[in-house]
Amino acid sequence: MSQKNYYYLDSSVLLEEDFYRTLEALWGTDNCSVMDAHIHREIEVYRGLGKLEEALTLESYVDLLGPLKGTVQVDTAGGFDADALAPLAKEKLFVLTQQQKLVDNFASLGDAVAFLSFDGEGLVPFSGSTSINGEAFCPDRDIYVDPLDGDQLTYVYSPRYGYLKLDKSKEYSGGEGVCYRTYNGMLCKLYYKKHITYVNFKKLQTMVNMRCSNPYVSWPLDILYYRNQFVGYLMQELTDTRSLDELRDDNFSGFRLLDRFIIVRNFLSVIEYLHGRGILVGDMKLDNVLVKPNCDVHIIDAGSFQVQDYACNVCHKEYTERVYTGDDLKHILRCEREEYFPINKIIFEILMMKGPFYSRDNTEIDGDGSRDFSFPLEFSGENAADLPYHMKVWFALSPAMRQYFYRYFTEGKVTYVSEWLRELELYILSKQKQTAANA
Amino acid sequence: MNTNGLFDDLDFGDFSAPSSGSSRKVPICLVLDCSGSMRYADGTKRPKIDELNYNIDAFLEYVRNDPKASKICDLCIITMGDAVHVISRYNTVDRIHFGHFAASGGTPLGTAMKTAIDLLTERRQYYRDNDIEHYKPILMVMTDGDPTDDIWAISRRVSEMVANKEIKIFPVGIGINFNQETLAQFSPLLKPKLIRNSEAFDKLFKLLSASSSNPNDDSLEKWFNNDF
Repeated sequence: MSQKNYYYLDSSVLLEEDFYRTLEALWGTDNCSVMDAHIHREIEVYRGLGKLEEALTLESYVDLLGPLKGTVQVDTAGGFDADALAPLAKEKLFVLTQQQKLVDNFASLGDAVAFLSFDGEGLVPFSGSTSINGEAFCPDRDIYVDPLDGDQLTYVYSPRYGYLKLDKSKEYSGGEGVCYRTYNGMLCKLYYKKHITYVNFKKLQTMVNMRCSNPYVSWPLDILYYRNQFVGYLMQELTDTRSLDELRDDNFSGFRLLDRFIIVRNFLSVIEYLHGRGILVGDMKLDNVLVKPNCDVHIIDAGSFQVQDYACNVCHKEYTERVYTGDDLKHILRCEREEYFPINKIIFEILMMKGPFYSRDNTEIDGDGSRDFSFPLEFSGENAADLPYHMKVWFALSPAMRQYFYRYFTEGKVTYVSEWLRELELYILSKQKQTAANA
Repeated sequence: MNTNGLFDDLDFGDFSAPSSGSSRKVPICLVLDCSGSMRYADGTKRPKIDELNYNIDAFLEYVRNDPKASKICDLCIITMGDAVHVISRYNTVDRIHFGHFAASGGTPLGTAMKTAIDLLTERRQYYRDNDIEHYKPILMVMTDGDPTDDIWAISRRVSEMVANKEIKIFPVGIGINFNQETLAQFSPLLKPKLIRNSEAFDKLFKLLSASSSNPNDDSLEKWFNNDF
C-alpha cells in the first residue's frame, strides 16, 4: 500500500486568493485533505465581524471538502495541540498555513511534517520569523571618547528644526537619558554619557531616515547636537496622556471595563504595525505605553526600539522572559517571540489589573518567586458572586482569550497579534451592543 | 463549565473604577536607633539624631509629593531607645504623622526587629486577604551601637527570610565607632553599609526614595555593594 500524503488546510491559507487552483492540483488518490474543527469557530468569528466574504469562502471549503471520502477531520484545539495530527505524521503530513503559530505549535511532530505557505502562485516552504537570536551591530571601539552630559546643556541643535532652547523647569528621566520640553510641542531626549555611542548615533540616523507615519509611535524626528556633537534625539510631545503604569495603580479610573478591552486592542494594533516592519519595542513595559482619555494608545521611547541590526539596550526584569545583562544587551538581537512575554503580561494586567502570576499564595510581584500561572482555563462552578474582581473579569473573557493566555503562560505557546486582534474586535463589538442595550 | 450569564454583574459600561482593584504596594519598614548615643555628632555635621530627623523628613516629603511613591509606598516606622515604639504601622504616607525623634535609652535591637517581622507578617496576611499585589518587602535597619538585648533568635529568623528571598534587608551602621559584626548577623547577602558623614545620610535616603517610587530600581542595592 502506498504512503498517503496528508494536507492540513489551515483557514489562513484557504482564505488566500486563488488558493483553490493549487488545491485542485493536489487532488489525487494518495492525497488527503485534513480539516480542523476550529474552522467552524473561524467562520463564526468572521461572520460576527461582518466579514462575510471570508466566512462564505471558508464555508464553501467546508461544504466541498467535508463530504469527500479522503478528507480527515481533526481537532487541534485552535492550533494549540498537535496530538490530533500525530497519527497522520506517521505517514507524510504537509501543514499548509500562513501562520507562524502553527509552525511553532506543530513543530513537536518532528521531521515528518513539512510546513508550506501559499505565495499567490503555489506552495513554498514556510519562511516566518525565527526564534533564534541574531547578532547586533556593536563595534568594539567607540568613537565618542568624551561625551557631553545632557543635563548640563541649555540648548541643542537639530538640522531639521534649528536651535532649540530646553525647558529645564521639568524633566522626565528614564533609563537611557533625560527628556526636556522645548517649544511647539517637542521633546528632546538627551542621553546619559554612557549611551552617547556611535551605535546609538547610527541607529537614530537609520530611524530618522526610515520615517514612521504611525501617529501612535513616538518616532525620532531628528538627531540633536550640541556644538556638532551628538547628544540625543527629538520627538513629538504627547499631552493629556497617562501611562499604563499610573493607570494600573489607579484602577484605570475614568475608564470602563469595556474601555480596557479597547485599550488592549489599540495597543496590539500598534504592536502589529511595528512587528510588521520588523521592529521590536524591546524595552516593553507599562511606563512606555501612554493612554489618552479616548483610549488611544501611544508607544514612547522609540530610541530604544530594536531596529534592523541595532539592538535594544535596555531591559526590565519584570517584563522579560530572559534577563539580558551587560554585554548581552549590546550584542544580542531579540526575536519577535520573546516580545510576547511583555505583550501577554501587559494585556493581562490591563484587563485583570493583576499580574499573571498573582494568586492568594503568591501576592509578590515577580520578584525572584515563581512564574506559575494559576488562573484556570475552565470555571469550576464555585459561587460566581463570591469571586474577587480579577477572577470575574478572567471568566468574563471569551474562552478563546482565556485559552491564549493559558497556553502562553503554561506552555509557552504564542498567539500572534493578528489572531488576538480578531478575537478582541469580535468581543468588543458584542460588549458594545450589550452596553448600548443596557443603557 | 459554560460561564454564560454567570458574570453579568460585571458592568462593562460603568465608568467608576472597581473598588476591589487596588494599587500595587512596596512595603518599606524602617527600624531606627534613637538610643542615647544618637545625641552625639559622630563624623556627621550635627548630632546623629538630627541627621536622622532631617533625612526622614526629606524622605517623607519626597514620597508625599511623588505621584507614584505616594500611592504605592506602604511605610512602617519603628524606633528603639527607652523602649521599642511603633511610630506607624504599614500605611500610606499621607496617613503617617509624627514629631521629631528624641535620643535616649539603649538599643533593644532584638525586640525592635521582632516587632518589625511580626508587623510584616501581619501586613502580608492583609495583602492576601485583600488581593493586594506587592513588591519584595524592604527592611532598613539603622543603628549606631551594640544591641542591649538578645538578637540571636531574631537575627537567625531574619537571615533565613533574606536567604529565602522573602525580604530585602538594608543594614546601616551609623558613625565612626560602629561595630558592623552585629548587623551582619541579620544580613547574609548585603554587608552593612557604614554611614559616617552627612553626605552619606543624604545619599542613603535619596536612594531609598528612588526605591519607594520605582521598586525595580536597584540603585540602593548597588550602593550597598559599592557598585554605584
